[in-house]
Amino acid sequence: MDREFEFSGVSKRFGTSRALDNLTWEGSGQVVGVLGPNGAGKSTLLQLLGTVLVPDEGGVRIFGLDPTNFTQRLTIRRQLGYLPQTAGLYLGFSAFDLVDYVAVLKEINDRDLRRTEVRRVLIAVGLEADMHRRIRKLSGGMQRRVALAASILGRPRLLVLDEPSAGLDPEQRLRLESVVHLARTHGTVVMSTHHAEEVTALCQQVLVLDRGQVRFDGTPTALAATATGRVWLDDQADPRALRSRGSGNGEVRNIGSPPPGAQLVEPTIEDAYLLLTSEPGVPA
Amino acid sequence: MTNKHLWHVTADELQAYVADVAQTLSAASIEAHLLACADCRATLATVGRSAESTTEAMLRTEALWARVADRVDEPRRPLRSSNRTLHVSLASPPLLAATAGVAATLLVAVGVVSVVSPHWSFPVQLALAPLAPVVASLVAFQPGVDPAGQLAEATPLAGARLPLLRALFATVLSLVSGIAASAFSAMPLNMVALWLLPGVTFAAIIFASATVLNPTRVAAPLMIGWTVLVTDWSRRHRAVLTAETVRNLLTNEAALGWALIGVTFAATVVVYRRRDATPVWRL
Amino acid sequence: MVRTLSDGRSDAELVAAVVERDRGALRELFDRHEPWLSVRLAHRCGDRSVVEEAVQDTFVVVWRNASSFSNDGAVAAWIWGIGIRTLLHAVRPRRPLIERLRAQRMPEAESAEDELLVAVEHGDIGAALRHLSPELRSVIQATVLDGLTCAEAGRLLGIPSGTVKTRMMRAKRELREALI
Repeated sequence: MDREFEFSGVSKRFGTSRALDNLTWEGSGQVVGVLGPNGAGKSTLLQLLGTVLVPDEGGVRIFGLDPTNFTQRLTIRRQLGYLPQTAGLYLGFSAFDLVDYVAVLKEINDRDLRRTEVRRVLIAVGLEADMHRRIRKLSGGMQRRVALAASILGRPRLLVLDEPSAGLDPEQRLRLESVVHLARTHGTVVMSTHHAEEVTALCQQVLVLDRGQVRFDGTPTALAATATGRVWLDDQADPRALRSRGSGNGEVRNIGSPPPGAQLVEPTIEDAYLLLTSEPGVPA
Repeated sequence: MTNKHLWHVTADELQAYVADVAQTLSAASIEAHLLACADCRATLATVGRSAESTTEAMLRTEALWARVADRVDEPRRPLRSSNRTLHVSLASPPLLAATAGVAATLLVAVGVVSVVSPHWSFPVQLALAPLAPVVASLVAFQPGVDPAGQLAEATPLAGARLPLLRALFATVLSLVSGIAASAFSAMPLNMVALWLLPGVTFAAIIFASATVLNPTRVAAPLMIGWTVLVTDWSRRHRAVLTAETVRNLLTNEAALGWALIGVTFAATVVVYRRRDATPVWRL
Repeated sequence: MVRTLSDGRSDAELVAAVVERDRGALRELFDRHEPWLSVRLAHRCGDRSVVEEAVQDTFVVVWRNASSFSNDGAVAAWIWGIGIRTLLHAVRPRRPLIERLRAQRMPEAESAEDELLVAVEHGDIGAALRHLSPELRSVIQATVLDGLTCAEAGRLLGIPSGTVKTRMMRAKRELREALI
């Protein structure tokens, strides 16, 4: 069995709201993108993968191990990198000190080894020049990259990134892509995102979540294909469409059930994602 | 680059200087000029390299830089500790502040009471005995205590290990402040270790309860109960308040029994709740 | 290693950035000043590994004590001051503590020497300097060009600091006579 992670019938509630509802899912050895509107349960899903939450019902297995078992969870955490949505770093620390501290938590005990590794991850996220400045003095995007650097310490077998591109400018996003590509060479990457184009650029598998349930699980190409015959161009937003959005050249992409004779176009991942999350249909 | 100099060193002159075959005087003026002229310094960098192959020179420079970088890339001094307990404790300003605050409270309280009413310095030190371990275990579980915030929660040291290391640090420091406070009160030094017993018991209970509910709700009644107990006991033994009676209080069968019950209860809860050592109350 | 080519900041700006813990600025200073510093120190000491050690130490000192740079001086001269003293320290590592303390109290450079420095760069002093005897010339080199104090120059040349002073006076007198 080579599944890096498996969810079987997982539910998680917070008070009365259901964050995840009987979710079954698995994946391995790739970059997996998790798409979904706010409140769809993306963060909960990633927190379960990051072993910082346990499910109310159902089971999660990571590397075939049970994260609710104390010793097995330790084994998982030794091969895990987790970037939370908001890290809450001490601003008085320098980037280097902070990542070095996380390296201590990750049991990299030898000082020379630790320095080499800390430097490696900081250079990988593009903070070579700024690594000794206090986090307080860094821009928001840089602060986010400090947390990213800490999460890739020790080349984790499973890297869980909760909205890693939030707050990054386009250039920093390119840097993130190179980090993800590198991480993929030694493990599985699961990342949640708001940007469909990131899924196109990075992911081999994509999961669309909506209201705690899986709406789609497959390749990005297959996701785009679900909207075949459902996207048409027009001069203006079509009132019959479920969603309409500008395509940049003055025309409007309408998504939904096309009227007869409409000018159908090739769907993108974003079209398919919008279609999936706007129709109250059954899971794909 | 600025060009304020009337003359510059020629490439040939620089070549001779680098190879150390220039006349003393020429070398001296070149050196003086180099100090002031960025252009000639830049030229020298290229001239110097023509002696060896470019890659060779670049490798040498990179190797030299790597040695500089190794010494520059060091954590700040308090974080340079190679001991893990020290490292994770010193990295947390709230923990340090809480520990120092508790130590100061103990010293000041016992010191002041020993002057005002020497008779009570002993009970006060006793009443404050569990303060350090209890506060430390409380602080160790607070979300803001870790410099890496939520990043720390998915690491191998997270869960119970990290708060344990921190509580250990604070307990050892409280032992030191306890010894210092003994100078004011009449507590004999060999009793100070015994003096930590209630604190360690309470800390164990707090650790166990942290897996189920907010540990503050457990710590507050424990501390209040202990203070009431000590006050009541001191009042009753007022006439014969000696080291012997304190030793008897701490080592009598009932006290040790309660400590044992507390620790056993704590251990049971921890084993039972092992499945989910993430503090539930925080979610 | 991929690095952007030299940035447009001046040396003094780079030192100010190093104070703000800008590691990239230190790297830039290293790229600009390591070559000439290595060459010049190599002319003072034949042992290549000692020189490399001194260069390395110099930039570590630049990193740690960047705030001690006063903005009105030249960065290269400041770096040279650190470099030559580091080399001196490496060559004679076991200086007694009292001597080190005394060296710290001594004024960094004397104005007469500064004047001479300018003269060496611009003036027609060359011929006069060439006629000095080697031991006088080495004293001039150590004190005027390397900016060492009498005590430091004495240690570098292996002579008592009193001798440095008398040779310095003799050299100045001879130079003055030759120039008049």
